[in-house]
This record gives sequence, structure tokens and C-alpha cells, in this order.
Amino acid sequence: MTTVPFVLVIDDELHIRRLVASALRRAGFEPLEAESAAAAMELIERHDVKAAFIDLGLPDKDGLELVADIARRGGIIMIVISARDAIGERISALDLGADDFIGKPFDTGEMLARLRAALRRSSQPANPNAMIVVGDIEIDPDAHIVRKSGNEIHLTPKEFDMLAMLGRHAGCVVTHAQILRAVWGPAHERDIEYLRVTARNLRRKLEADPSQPKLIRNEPGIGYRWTL
Amino acid sequence: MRQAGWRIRTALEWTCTIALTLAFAFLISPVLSIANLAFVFLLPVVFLSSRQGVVSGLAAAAASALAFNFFFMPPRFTLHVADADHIASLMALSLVAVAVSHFSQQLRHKATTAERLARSTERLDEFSRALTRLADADAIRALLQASLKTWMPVTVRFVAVERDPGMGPPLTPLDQAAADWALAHGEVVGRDSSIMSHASALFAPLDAGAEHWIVAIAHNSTTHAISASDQIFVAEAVRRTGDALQRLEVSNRRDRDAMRDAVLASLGHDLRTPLTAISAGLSALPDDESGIIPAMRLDVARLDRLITNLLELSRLRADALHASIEPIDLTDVIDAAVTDSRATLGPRPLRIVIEPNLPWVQADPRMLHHMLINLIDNACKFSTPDAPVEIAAQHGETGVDLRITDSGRGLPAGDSARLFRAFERAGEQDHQGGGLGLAVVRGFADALGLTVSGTNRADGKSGAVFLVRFPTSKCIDPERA
Repeated sequence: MTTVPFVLVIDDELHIRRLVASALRRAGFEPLEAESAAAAMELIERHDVKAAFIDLGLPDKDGLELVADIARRGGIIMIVISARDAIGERISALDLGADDFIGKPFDTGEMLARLRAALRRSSQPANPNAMIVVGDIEIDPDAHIVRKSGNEIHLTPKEFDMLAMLGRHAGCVVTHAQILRAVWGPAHERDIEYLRVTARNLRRKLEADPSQPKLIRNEPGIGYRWTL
Repeated sequence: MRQAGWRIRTALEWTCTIALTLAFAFLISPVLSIANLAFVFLLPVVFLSSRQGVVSGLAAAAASALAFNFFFMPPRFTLHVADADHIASLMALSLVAVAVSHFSQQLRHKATTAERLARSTERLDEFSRALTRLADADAIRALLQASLKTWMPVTVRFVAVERDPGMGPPLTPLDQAAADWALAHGEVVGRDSSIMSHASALFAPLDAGAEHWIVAIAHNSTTHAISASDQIFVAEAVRRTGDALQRLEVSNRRDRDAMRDAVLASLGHDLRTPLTAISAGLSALPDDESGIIPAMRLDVARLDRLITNLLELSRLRADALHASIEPIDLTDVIDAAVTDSRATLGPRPLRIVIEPNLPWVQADPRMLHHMLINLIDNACKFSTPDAPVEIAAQHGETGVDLRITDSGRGLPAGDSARLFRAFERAGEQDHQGGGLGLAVVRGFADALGLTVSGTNRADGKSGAVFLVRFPTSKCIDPERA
């Protein structure tokens, strides 16, 4: 039996909920609508919800608390909807377990692209040694080898680790702190220079024009995204 | 009345002590030698000097010496002294009496000082505890006023320094001078102090942070002054009151700031919500050949930028920017701004030139992102949809230069600083949007320690160049990072 994945839309604005829901339905998802955090949790109890769009400005609860609540349950992809200038809010949501964010006002194409990227990532095997393939780039974590269009590319260990991390989250944003913690260790969580140096080197080795990156993009103040 | 009663009691105590000593000496004189008897006369000296002070003690010493000489030293009942030995013991008695009187007076002084200090500390601690319970500036000042009146017989008045006069009678020139001195030096001066003691009151400066007050402490007594130690006490009480007022001010300001941030954030949310509905609605509609849908999308993007700029300008005006500085690769900022400006740029040919090995810049990424978006917006606003735009990041004379060059008709002659003022645009009336964008660019540049300027192209072509200059202090060399 193939099931249509349930996608929960949590927003207190009826118009936005309806529009997002109809776009999801057109794209082949089964939308569920919740106007509050309480309604959202109830729907999550009753249905096998695969992903959720969460507007952080909810009437009954701090949106970030809801993100934390859903993260504790696990297994649900979360994409946060927030104003474009709310950088701190986005970082908090990502650190609490959200998979990505989308800025208001958004168009539904952008929204669906984010959802598909997150679904693609979550469907990948959890094995950390599995091959990562993004576009024409192959990352073999076991052999520590990166190939672009079949040609091996020499990377330093840190460059490799950062690329592998972005590759595992391809299409989704990974915060500066998340990369620094995973690759350099928790003591270097704030050493953003490390990221800048490594990202510049990766672009030189992988991008056609390092000054106009197409693969490794930066969300100002938030993190890096391997754009699909 | 109290003073007279105290004097009579003191005199009575003194006389009784001497008389009792004399009686006791008579009682035991048959069994004691005359040299030992002398020690009995030290007793009233110790007792009286410790109880009544050095004057009583010295008087007791003199009286004891005389009484000993008169009643016990041969020849008895004369003040005549026959034996040289007896003269020596009389002198010794007198000297010891004086010394004892002096030491016991010192002890007494130390004891009373310690007691007064303990009482002052206790009072000040109690006062501080009471201050922390208050959350209102008027109540805090009222507590100081009431407390000072309880501690000493004075009247207390507050004079606001910055505020218009008219609160109470004006100060006399001498009082004003004393108040000014108190304020300038942070000292308690005026009546009963060593500075400007002819003033009608003692003046203590009350530094409440945002505003300053003078506490005028007056009393009517001609005999009793506010002692030096009480002045120290007053200064401390006033200082603690100032601290309490400053703490209150800080917490009030924090509340106000949090409120203002919340209002601006919810305003942004409220303004963007209908825009989001329109934007999502537009993407549900199929494009037709009329080009209305893409045009409306452009309008949504423009409205969104306008809202952002209005909010940012409000934050700038309200001093509510919270910059978080981090090292930034200009490649990233340019890429992100160009991505977010896709709709604005439309079909314009875009050239991006970024020098390799450019230093990182220290800035707030969100603010820099908005600056660049506004500059791109500005470049498009004043040029036709096919005129090329160039964004270049290069080493400058010092630090790093970021240039946005358009191929529009250029800037009108005149004051280039005017460009960056809100609601002034380069002499144009026919373009939508305000001059908000450039005003935000300037405000952010100032906040980040960058300079921004607009000039006409120097290469002979028509168009304007906007230059954002990152000084060396805002650059980090990648080689050393």
C-alpha cells in the first residue's frame, strides 16, 4: 500500500493555510491544517505526519517551543516560516531541530522545493559510511574520496568533513555552529573564520566560478546550504 | 531640658563617686599602708573617665590627689606635705590618675565610635533593604526623605537639576553655589561641612543616572550641627538611593527596549502576513501572456523591501539595532543579495567581480545583506531594464571596497550626502518607492563603522557608482585567519 505523505501546515492565518494546503495537494501531498500549537499536537497524535510547516508566530504558544516539542517526538521534518530579517529566530529553530526555514513572503514553488529537499535527505540511509551523491559529485566517506564527474579531487580532512556534512544535508541549510561543532569540535563553535577559509577552498576546488558559487551557498548569518 | 537633667545627673554621679571613695578609704585606712591606700584613689578616676569622659576623669584625678593629701598624708588634715617620699607618691598618684583617665577616655571613645558605626551600618542596611522593595522613583526619593528625618532632626528637600525651576522656591546664590559644588565634585557640602558652611542647608548630590537631583538637608538648631560622621552617613544613604534609582532606570529601560523590539517584530509580522497570502496566491495562478502575474510578483517583492526598510529605519531611529558582528566573505553576501534581488534585477546583464584572496570583512551579515539589496534596488530603479549592473569587491586604498555600478542616467550635481537622507531621491519624481533604501544603507554603514558614498561614473559612461568602504580595522586577512 502506498500512502500519500501527510504534511501539516501550522499557521494562524486561514488564507495562508488554505493556499499552502492547496499547493501541497496539487504537488501530491496530503495536507493537514492546524491554527494553533495545541491543534497541531493533536493532529500529530492522530496521523502519521511526515513533515510540518510551522509559522513561528502562533496564538497559543511560542513557535520555538512547538518546534522543540515536535523535535522531541522525532521523525517529523520541520520547515519553519519566519520573517526574512529574523535571523536569531531561525538559528534557534534550526538548533532546536528544525530542518530548514522559509522567509515570509514566500511563493509556493520555493516552499515545495524546500520540502522536497528535506524529504530527500530524510529518506537517505542513516549509515554514516554510505556513499553521498549530489549532482555530479560523489563522496565516499569510507575511502575518504571525493570525485567530481568521475575525477578524484584532493581535499584536506576538514574540507572533506565539511563537504560530507553539507552533502548529507543537501538542499537543507546547516548552521555555522552545527558545522563547527561536528567538524572542529564544540570548543570551536564560534570560530566562523575556519568555515570561511574552508568554504573558500572547497569552492576553488569544486565550483566553476568560485566568486559566483552554485553549490556551496551561504545564508547570511545562518549557515551553509549545498544547493541542488 | 534634657541637657540640664543630664548635667545634674553627671555632677551628682561625680560627687557621689568621690565621696564613696573617700568613705571607703577611711574604712580601710587602718589596715593599709599609706602607699597602698593611694591606689584606692585611682578607682574613681578609672570609673569616672570611662563613664563621663576625660574632663570628669581629670577632675577626679585632681580631687583624688587633693583628698589623699588632705585626709591621709601626714601631716593629716593639711595640704602640707612633710616627707619627700610622700611628695613622690603624691606625684605618682597624680600621674597615674591622669594616664588612666586618658586611656580609659580613649577606650570609651573607641567603644562609642564602634557602637555608632554599627548602628549606622545597621540603619544603612535596613535602608538598602527597604530601597530594593520599591519600584517607583518617587517612592524611593520619599523613603530617603523620611529616613533622613527619622535619623536626625532635619528637613529634606529635593532640587531637580535638569528640570525647569519652579519646583519649590529657588535657591539663594550661596545655596546654588553649594549645590553646584556638590554636584560637580560628588561631595556633601554646605552647612556644618568644611566647604561653604554658611549655606542654609547641607547639599548632597543624588545621581539617578538619567537625571540628577540635589538633596538639601536643613535644620533649625543653632547649637547642634550635623556631625562629620553623620555627614558621611548622609552621603552613603544618598549614594545608595542613587544606586537604587539607577537600577530602576536600567530595568525600566530594559522593559521599554523589549517592548519596542516586540512591537516592531509584530508590526513586521502583521504587515507581511497579507503579503504572504498574496504571494502564495499569485503562485497558484497560471502565467498568461499579459505579464500581469510576474509584474505583481515584482510588486510583492518591492512591497516586502519597503516594509523591511521602514522597520529598519524605525529600528535605526529608535537606536534598537542589535548588530552581531562576524567575519564575512563578501562572495557570500553578494551571492545572497543577488539571489534575493532576482526579481528586481530582471533581465539586466549582471557582472560580478570579486578579487581572489580578498580579506574577510567584520560586519553584521543581516545588515550588510540589506545594504547590498538596497544598493542593487537603487541601481535598478534609475536604469532601464537592459542596462548592465556591476558589483565589484576589491582591495581598496585601505581595506576593501565594494562597488555597485549602474548604467542609468547618473546622479544630479550637488550635495551627495543628501542622497542618503530619507525621502530625498536624486531629483526624480517618477519612480515608485521612497529614498528609504539609501537612508537605511547610510544608517547601517554608520552603525557598522563603514563609509558609503555615491558618485557618477568616472569612466565617461553614464551611470552612478555607490562605494561601500571597509576600513582596514574591519578586515581580516585570510592568511592569518
